[in-house]
Amino acid sequence: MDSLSVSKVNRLFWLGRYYERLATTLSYLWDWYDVMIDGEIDYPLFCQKLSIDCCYKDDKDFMHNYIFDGTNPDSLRTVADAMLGNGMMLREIIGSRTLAYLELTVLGMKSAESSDSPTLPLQRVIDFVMAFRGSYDDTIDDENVRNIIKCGAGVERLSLYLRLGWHLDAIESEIGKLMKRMNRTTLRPSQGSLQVLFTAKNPKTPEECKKLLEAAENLFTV
Amino acid sequence: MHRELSFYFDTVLNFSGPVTEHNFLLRCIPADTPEQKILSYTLTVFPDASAARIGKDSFGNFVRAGRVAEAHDSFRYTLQGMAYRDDSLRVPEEAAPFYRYASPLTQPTPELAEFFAAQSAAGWCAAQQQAQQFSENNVPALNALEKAKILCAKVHEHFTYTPGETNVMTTAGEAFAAAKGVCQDYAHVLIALCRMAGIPSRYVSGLFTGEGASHAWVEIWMGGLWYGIDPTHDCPADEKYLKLCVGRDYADCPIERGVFSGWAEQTQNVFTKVTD
Amino acid sequence: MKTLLAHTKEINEQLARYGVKFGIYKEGRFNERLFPFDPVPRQIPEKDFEVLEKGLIQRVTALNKFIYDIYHDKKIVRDNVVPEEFVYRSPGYLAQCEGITPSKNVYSHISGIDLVIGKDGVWYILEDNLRIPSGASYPLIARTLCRRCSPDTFKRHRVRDNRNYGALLKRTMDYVNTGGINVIFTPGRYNAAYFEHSYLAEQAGAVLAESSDLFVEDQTLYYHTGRDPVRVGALYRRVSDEYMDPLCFEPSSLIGIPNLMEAYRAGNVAVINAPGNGVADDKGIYYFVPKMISYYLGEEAILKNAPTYLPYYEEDRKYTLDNIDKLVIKDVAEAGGYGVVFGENLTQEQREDLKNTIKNAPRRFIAQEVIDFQDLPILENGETVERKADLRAFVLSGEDVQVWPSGLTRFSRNPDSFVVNSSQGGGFKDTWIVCQ
Repeated sequence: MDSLSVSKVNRLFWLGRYYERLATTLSYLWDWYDVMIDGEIDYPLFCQKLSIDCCYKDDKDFMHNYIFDGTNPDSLRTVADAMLGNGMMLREIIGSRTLAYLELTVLGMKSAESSDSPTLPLQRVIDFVMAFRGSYDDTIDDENVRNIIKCGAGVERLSLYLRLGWHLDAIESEIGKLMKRMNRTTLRPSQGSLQVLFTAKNPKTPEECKKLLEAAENLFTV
Repeated sequence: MHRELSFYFDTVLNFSGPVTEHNFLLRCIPADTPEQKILSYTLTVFPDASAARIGKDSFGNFVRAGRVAEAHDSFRYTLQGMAYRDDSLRVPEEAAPFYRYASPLTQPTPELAEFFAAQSAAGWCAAQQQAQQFSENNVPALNALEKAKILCAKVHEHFTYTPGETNVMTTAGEAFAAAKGVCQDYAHVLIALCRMAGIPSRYVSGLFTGEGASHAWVEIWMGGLWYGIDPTHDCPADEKYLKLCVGRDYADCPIERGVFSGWAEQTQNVFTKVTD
Repeated sequence: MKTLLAHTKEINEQLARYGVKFGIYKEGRFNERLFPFDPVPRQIPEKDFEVLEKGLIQRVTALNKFIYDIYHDKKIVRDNVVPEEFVYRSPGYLAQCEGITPSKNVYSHISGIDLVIGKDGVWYILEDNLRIPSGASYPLIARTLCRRCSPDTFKRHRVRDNRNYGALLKRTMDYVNTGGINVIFTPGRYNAAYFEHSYLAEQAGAVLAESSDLFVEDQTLYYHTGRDPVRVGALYRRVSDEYMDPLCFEPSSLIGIPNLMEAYRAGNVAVINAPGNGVADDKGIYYFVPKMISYYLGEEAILKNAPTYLPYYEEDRKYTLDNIDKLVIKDVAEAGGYGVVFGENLTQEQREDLKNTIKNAPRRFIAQEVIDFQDLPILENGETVERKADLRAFVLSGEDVQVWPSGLTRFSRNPDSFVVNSSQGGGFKDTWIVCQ
């Protein structure tokens, strides 16, 4: 691929963001099925942290609706559909074999929806996302293409960690990885965000998290 | 009668906000033919699109395409020049067959068909009888031009000139039913009727002597020559008229068409001046 | 065949895995569904295919000459072989294409010719599709997946390989390319055949682009990149003529490329298929194709048309009106299986209405004898049933004219229906060209 259109760059980046959002959020919620057996989950706080509408009746409703309801714009099913949608529009770049893992991810979401023990089929969903990551990394020759997807994933991971206050001790190393990948792409980062991220340490306070989150979200305008 | 026309045609499009990726296609360069010799002309476009290659479309019109990618809030093109008009210098040519068939904006409707039937029967008969009164011999059947002139008069009579009632998408049938419209509608209806009569006819966009806006009329083909008739004024379109472009109907040959990105309202100011 | 059938479940899983879908608009909503696949292929013996091949090459060669003629000298009209009004009243005729000569003079690069085989074993041409015939991608991927699921089947049967379609397409694009990259131009993700657009881009090594990725400047088509624009030499556009260029055709089109026609007219890009081809695949023009073959090639048509009547001619009109109950009447302006009426299915009143419509607008219709099709076996809920089916053969015109040794076999899932269109719920089969 000698050249990528602006819209393709955009789709590659968002493909990265969406698969990472799906996989990371599922991993985060993973344990909640266990918690719910004999306790409660704090889903209102979760919604607040992610700045999404908290329109769920109870724990069970949240876990079902937020994960599986394709008509809910915030749901992970919607994220999975958007991920596949971007992938479909990149078939000739990422290849049908790699794209198939995204199809399988969405099929996996559909089959998990009707299961009374969703953790196991959801594990398969995460497996498929992991297979997708391996597949694109292994089969796409173009360094720029590969790394644009990874930059999308990197930004999304930082964003989720910072919003959820999760794995804050890994922030510095995640930023380091993102910077390395960015340098192997044609993406043009915002100088303001770069300055903040270059000097960043693992955040300690909500204010520090907020500042880093803003920098990460605004790093690329795609 | 020959004339030397000096023409000036200026159009400004104003956008309520900045627009980008503005692609346009202009057909404002006048036809250059034996009866309308273009002695000189300049066309300026602002903002200027980098390349200004002049092409020709399938109807033989000059086209000037362009693209302005950068943000701008107005677009202007100005044409000026001199033309030598003399209809006695026309050379015979064939009429493309598609000028005999209804085009998208000139499709027949039952009302048009009925009007045509009535006018052609009564009108042609009356003209024939009138001619017969002054002649000993049998008067030959009406020719295409004579028929077209009768239809032209009827169209002129049918319509009340009313700006703002129709738009560029209005069909001959719709305009006819409303009996209101502007030069474009008069032309479409006359074209529809001429084609029903089997007369090859085409739509002309152009300018005519005086100041104001651009104009539209009709040309009909007979014996190898195109004859201009103006249904809006019910008169021949003679050397006072300057032809810019032709087509089966308006949609084939708008003088300017453009598309752009950006949410903006567009207003247009046109000024034309033709003197001899 | 039993081995292949035993793998039906795996094949369907594979089709789902690869997203072999077909989009459909229902009540204003876009839905994608799997294109129902029947694993039992249509089999055509190689020696029969050779006849088809010759006939299709002949037909497409004549059709290409016809389109050139119509937009240039119009000899066939002047010589009264095709009545003028069938050309100029055809909705597919585009005056905006008059006088344009496409790169290498090829108009119909990818032709989809629909055929049926009668009980008498004779192939009949049903219609020509010379605008943007779709469907090749489905048997193409189905073959790959079936071979994967049931290798033994393919060890036992000697079937001509059809997996070269991408290479054929690339060769066709390269031949007409005027200098620049090959692009497949899609109206977007919400198009019925989006799977096909993206799969063919991958298979032919072309760039898949939407209108926002492309622009025309100085009569040249470019692909937008963040940096220097890249010139496009061949555009396989899956956008119909009327939406292709808002400055030349439908002005409200948001999926077109402004001034594409200017680049095309100047000879700076090959547009695949050429705009204006609709004049040659019109249902009214169909009647004249055998006459074109003898007019342009001085040959007898190898493949037959279905027996067709043109109510435009008085004799045919009389026959049509007298025999309407055993004929199929087609509205020439409609496509995709719409506007097709079987006289026998009409009530007395509807029949009279149709007769009147035909009398008032004879040019709008053609009438055809209902061909006694050979039905094909279909697997439905574990049972084998017989259904109507047709074959879309793909003919690629570049340096030479070639027939893809396969094709899309579409079948009706409704036992009472002759309409095999995928937009009306039909399914598909692979088509095998079988060596002895």
